[in-house]
Order: sequence, then structure tokens, then C-alpha cells
Amino acid sequence: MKYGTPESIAAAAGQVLYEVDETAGIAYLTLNRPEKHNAMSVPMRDRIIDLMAEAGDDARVRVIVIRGNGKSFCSGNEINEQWGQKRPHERRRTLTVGYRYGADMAWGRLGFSQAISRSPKVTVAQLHGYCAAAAYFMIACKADVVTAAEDTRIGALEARFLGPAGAVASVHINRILGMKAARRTGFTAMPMSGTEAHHLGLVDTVVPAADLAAATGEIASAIATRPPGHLLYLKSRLRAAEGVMDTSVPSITGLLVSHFLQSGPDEMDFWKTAKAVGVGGALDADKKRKGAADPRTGVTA
Amino acid sequence: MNDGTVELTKDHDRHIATITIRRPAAGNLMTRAMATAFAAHLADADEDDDVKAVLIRGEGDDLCAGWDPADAWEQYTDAPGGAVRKHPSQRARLIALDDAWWGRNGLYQRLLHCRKVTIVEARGRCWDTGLYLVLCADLVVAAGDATFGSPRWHNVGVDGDMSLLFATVGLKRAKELMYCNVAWSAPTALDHGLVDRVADDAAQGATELAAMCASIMRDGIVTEKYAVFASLEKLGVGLSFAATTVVGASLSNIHFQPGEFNFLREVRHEGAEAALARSRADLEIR
Amino acid sequence: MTAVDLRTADGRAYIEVPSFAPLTAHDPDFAGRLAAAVVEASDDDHVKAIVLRATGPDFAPATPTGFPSVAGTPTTWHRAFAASTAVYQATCFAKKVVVAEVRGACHGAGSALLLCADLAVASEDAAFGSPFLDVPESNFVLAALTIRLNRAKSWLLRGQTYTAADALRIGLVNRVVPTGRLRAETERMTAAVRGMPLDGVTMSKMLQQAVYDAHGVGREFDLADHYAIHRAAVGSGLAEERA
Repeated sequence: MKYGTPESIAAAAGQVLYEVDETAGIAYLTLNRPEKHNAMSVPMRDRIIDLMAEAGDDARVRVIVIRGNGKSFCSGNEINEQWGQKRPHERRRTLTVGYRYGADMAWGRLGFSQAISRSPKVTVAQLHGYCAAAAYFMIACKADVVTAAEDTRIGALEARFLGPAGAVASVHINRILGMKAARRTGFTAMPMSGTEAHHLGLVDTVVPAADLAAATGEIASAIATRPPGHLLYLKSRLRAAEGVMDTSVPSITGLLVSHFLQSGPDEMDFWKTAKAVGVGGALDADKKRKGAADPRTGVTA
Repeated sequence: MNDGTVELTKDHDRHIATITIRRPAAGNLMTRAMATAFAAHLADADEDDDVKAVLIRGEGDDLCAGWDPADAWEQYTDAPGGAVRKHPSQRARLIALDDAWWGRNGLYQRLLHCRKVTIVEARGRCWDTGLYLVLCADLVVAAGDATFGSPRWHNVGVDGDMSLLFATVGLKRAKELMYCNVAWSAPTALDHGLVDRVADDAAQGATELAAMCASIMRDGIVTEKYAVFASLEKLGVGLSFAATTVVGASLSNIHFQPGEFNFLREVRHEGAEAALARSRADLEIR
Repeated sequence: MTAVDLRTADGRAYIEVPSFAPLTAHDPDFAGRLAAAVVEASDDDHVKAIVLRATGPDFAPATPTGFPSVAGTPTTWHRAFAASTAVYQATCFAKKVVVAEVRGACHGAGSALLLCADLAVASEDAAFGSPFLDVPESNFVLAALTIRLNRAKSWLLRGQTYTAADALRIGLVNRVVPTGRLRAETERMTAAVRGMPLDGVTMSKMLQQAVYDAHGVGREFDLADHYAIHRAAVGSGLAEERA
């Protein structure tokens, strides 16, 4: 069963592009919704799951590059669709729907992030602009190799009004960034630059934005020239070792976060505000609150 | 010199509680009584819905220069089974270390399992107990003069947490603190991921960070902290703390070889202050 | 037969070999004697620190792996490279502090051994190749805990060689010094270990082993046979690569 409106389901094919460079052995999965910073709708995420499976099965493909068109890699999940209001096809959100697209999408065994982290092929995420929220912890932190522009803004930027949603608790993220940086990104909602993410170890290669595509292509091509049997061996080694380290997330976390969090009387109700003045307006209102860090302010590259 | 206190103040308007270690003349060396008071303040902050973040700081020049060795022996003799024979039993040593420090009601676990965001303002010496406070808290803002290490390990062996240390700074860097009689400067600690920021004014930096954390919704903070508690189990921290208690109790009665600096005898004969000073004379700041 | 020399002085044991490349070549005799030297040094009450040193210009120059068949993996190969008594676990779980002194090239098993050491000193000309491409018994969990997960993944998949400066930046080694000062730096670092009480060193290493196991290091060692059989089955593709 596919969730979404007829319009959003129909749009998904054009919002996630897919092409295979047969000679190089590289599949490109490109987020293409630039007017929304490539925010992912539910049908877009469904399509990514399908495309990851297709690339996994395709013997020509050795490396999968995930990237975004426009100003940003991806700003996360489409919030108006999933969270802000009731969707036309459901009178109220049930746990069946919410679990599939909230908790399980993020952290569970059947979800979206597993399609990326459990791929038999080598995955490369190419980050620029914003890499926020779900794009941060479900794509960037799940890919094998990450490249980034120096001024990328990476992090759990939604944490202030949605809670850190597992960004601190993820064992995986603690192993990638170290314990303090995992806490810092989740509990302050501050973005880290591509340069900082490279220093912490999330990002393998950081370059000026203009050089990003070329640098990523070089890395992907070099990996893709290794013999396929060897690559499959290395990837299965990785999966086994991560199992041994137990890097998965206590998936129950997301359930609480995605359904039952309430704002206090003295806290901004993000959804109510977003409904009234739009997401941008809600972000502006949020910025004016005491102590808040605006995720849209620049980062030191 | 057993005169330290730990105080709690709360600013409900800004949603920040502050715990201050007050024993400045002794570098805020921590006693068992102070640890117990500290843990009680954390419980208080946990219960207060108008507190979102807890700031931890020390009065004077240092956050905390260590665990007070003068107090160490007494905590063993006071524990159940501690005064039956001349030397405290192993069960007494285990119980004492568990109750006040490493167990579920001990200072370090209480800090690690605080439901609110915890932020340390690290100044001067952050050694032994001071280092564990830094490791168990969520976030750390360091002053330029802060140093981080556990010189105690050089004198008796590593009797403290390794799991948080490994997961925070990596294996080889952790072992420099464990085996090389080294403490890190603030810039080194920042580079290695032990602290979040180095600030000229650490008090202001820590307050800013606390305000940022306090701008997050309460439900978000507390649910995430509970998720963190689950993930600490997956990171092996619970097992590590239990092993630490056993090793700590064992190290409290190790034998020294001829020619080795006998820290425990030095404490008995020369007093805690002199023993500490001598044992730390060769500590290298890197 | 490659010499494995063990001598002790001033609270340290020095294990010296021309290079550690025979480990990459999967020479079971060399691996056995190296493991025995580590255990002997570890058992010696006069030793608190164990130094692993190559007397030649390179710690572990690149060399063909000499890998056995799928059928040979569970027997001699297992005993020499994957068993709990074999060289890597003997080093990783030694009762004393192990220091790797690395100059020149450090490839294949050299890097696998480096990951098992507690501390490392390197010369400015040192270069660290990935242990994961052709040494299946190398421990990925140790790499992830040392240089963080994504760097370890990238080392495994891209197989890049780290310079000494990179290795210092990511926490793979503790100190980098000019080649002429390498031995002096090792002495300095081990002098600190020598200042610890003997029982304190041993007890610390016991606790370290428990914490390693909580983090999955032991479990990863136990999977070495599976990795080796898989690699032997696909031939690692290395022959294909050469062609």
C-alpha cells in the first residue's frame, strides 16, 4: 500500500531522479525538488526505497551516489505533509501509518534508512546547502562515504521544536561523531559546517562547493573500479562488524517523538504557528525566542 | 580540610539550574559527602519541570582537582562489613564505591542519567573526579586554562570509566590519558572531542549553551534523554561501570613492588595533601 | 626464517623484527614466534611496556598476501592468525601496555597490528595503508573505536593510505617525530608507563579487556574465520584486479 495524495504520488517520479552510468558502474539518485530544498514527501521516500533495491539488484552498479539538485542536498522530511495537518486520505493519523513513516522510517528494521545503510552496494552521499533533520540522520549518517561542500549546514536543525528525535541517542551517530558532538548537534540544534563535520569524522572529503561534484565523482569512480566480488566482500564485512558493535538505534525512541510530544504553555507550538503563518514564519517566530539558534544563520566553513 | 559543600540554585525564568562545587581552597576536591549532596541536587533538578538544563561549575580556579584521598579509606570502613577486621572487606570497598560513585545512585550514574541537559563549565583542573564529571555530562565549555586528566591512574592504575572515554576520544588518545601521565590542555581536549567549546569567558559560554538547550521543548529533552539511556546500554556503558567498581575496589589494596611510588602508604604517612602533590609532580600537560 | 628478537631492559620489553611484512604474507611460523614473544614479555614481572619495532627501514612494506584456500582457512591459518592465542589477540589483550613504533611504510598486517597496540609513535615519513583490503583477520571494531566509524569505513572501502600527519589528526597514532628521534620518543612514552605500579598496569589491562568486549572487539575477532573464508571464496578479486 502506498500512502500519499494522488498528486504527491504522481510527482515523486520527477522528484527523485535515477540514472545509471554503466561504464563507470555508478548509479546516481538525485533529489529534485529544489523549490523545497528537496524536502522528502512520503512518496519520495517510498521511491528512494524502491530505487535502492533496484540499484542493489543491478549487477552493473557498484557504487550509488545520492545527491540533490538546487541550493540544498535535502532539508529533511516534508513537514507540512506528514506532521502539520491531517492529510486528506486519513481522518486521523493512526499508529500504523505513523509508525511506518515516522519511527520505523527513521530507526526501525523495515524503514527508509535501512534501505541506505543495508545496501549491498557502496553508498556515497554528496552534501551541499542544507543537510538537515531526516537528511542528516537517515541519509548522511547512513551512507558509507560522505563528501560535502565546506559551507554545508548539517544537523538536527528541527530539534528545538520537534525534539532531537534520536539524533543524540543514535549509537551510530555517537560512533561517527563522538559522544559530545552527538549531544551538541541534538541538544543545541546548531548546524555544523562541512568543514567541522570533516574534522569530526562524518565527512570523508570536504571541498569548495564548486569542486564537489568532481571530487565525489573521483571517489565514486575509484571505488567502482575495484572488482565487484571484492566490494561485496568488503560491504558484508562492514555489515557484520556494525552488527557486532550494535550501532543500531533503540527504535522505540521515534515512536514517542513522532506522535506524542507536546509543547508546554510557554513553548512555541510549531505546528499551530506553521499552519497560521507557514513554515518560514514559524522559523522566524522561533528565532525570536530566548537562547534559540537560528539554523539558517551561516556556519563557519 | 573536609569542609566542602555542593550548592544548587535555580533560575526558573531561564529554566536553568546551577550546581556549584564549593571547596575552592582545596581545588574543589570531592568527598563522599559532597558527591552525595551533588547527586541529591541532580535528583531535585530532575523533579523540577521548570528546569530544562543543569549547569555544573566549581567555585574558584578549578572545576574539581580530584577525589579526596583523605576521605577514601573512611568510606570503606563505614560501609557494611568495613570495620570487621583491620582492613575493610572487599564487599565493603565494593559497596562504598557503588553507593557514592559508580552505582545506580552514585554521582556518575546520576549525572549520566539526569533527565535534563547537563552542561559543565570547565576551568582549571578537571582531574580524576573532575574528568568523570566532564565525561558524564552532555556538553562541556572549557576555559583556556582548563586541563583534563586523571593523574590518579598513574599512581594506582586505571580505576575509572573507560567506556565513555573510548567512545568520546578514541582508543589511542584515551590511552595517552590512561598510561602516559598526561593531562590535556583545553585546545587539545577540543581537538580530541572531549569538550564542545573553548571560551575566553567559560561562564558566559556555558550559560549561552545552556540557554540554547533550554530553548528546546521539555518533551523533546526528556524523551531524548530516555532514548540516550537505552543507547548507553548498547554502548556497553553499564557493563563498563560495573567492571570499574570491581577494579576500583581491587586497586584499593594492590601491592607495590620495591622502588614503586606507594601512593596509598604516602597518603597514610604524609597526609592526603602532600601525597597528592608528590604524586602529581610529573604530570605532563599536552 | 625471519628473526623475532625479544630483549628486556628497564621495565620494557623490545620485540624487534626486520619488518612485520611476513604477517601480511601469512607466514604462520613468523606469526607463532611473534605471538610467543608478546606472551613471554607480557608474563615477565620486570616488564610494564612492550615495544613493537622493525629494525629495517619500513615497519611493514606492502607484500603479496600468500592467502590460503577456503579449505585451509579453518586449520593452520586459524591457529596462526585468528585463534585467541594468535598474534593479534595476544597483542590486543596483553597484560602490559603495548607500544607500536612505526617508521616508513605500514601496510596490510602492519596496520592490523598497529590497531591492536595501545599506543603508537610514528616517524614523519610513516605511511599507513588500509589493513582491510587483504588482511581479513584485521579488526574493524578496533579501527572504528580508534579513528571513529566513518573514517574506518572509508579506510575499508577506499583503501587510502594515510600520511603520518593524517594519522595524528585522526587519532591513529599518538606522536609523530622526525625519524632520528623515534626511539627517544618511544623511551619517553614508556618511561611514563614504567612509573605506574606493576599491579596497576595489569589491573588496568584487565579492565580494558572487559570494556573492549562490551564494545564488540572480541566478537569481531571471533568473526575472522568467516571473513577469511568469504575472502578466499571470492579470491578477494585481487587476481582480477591485477589482470
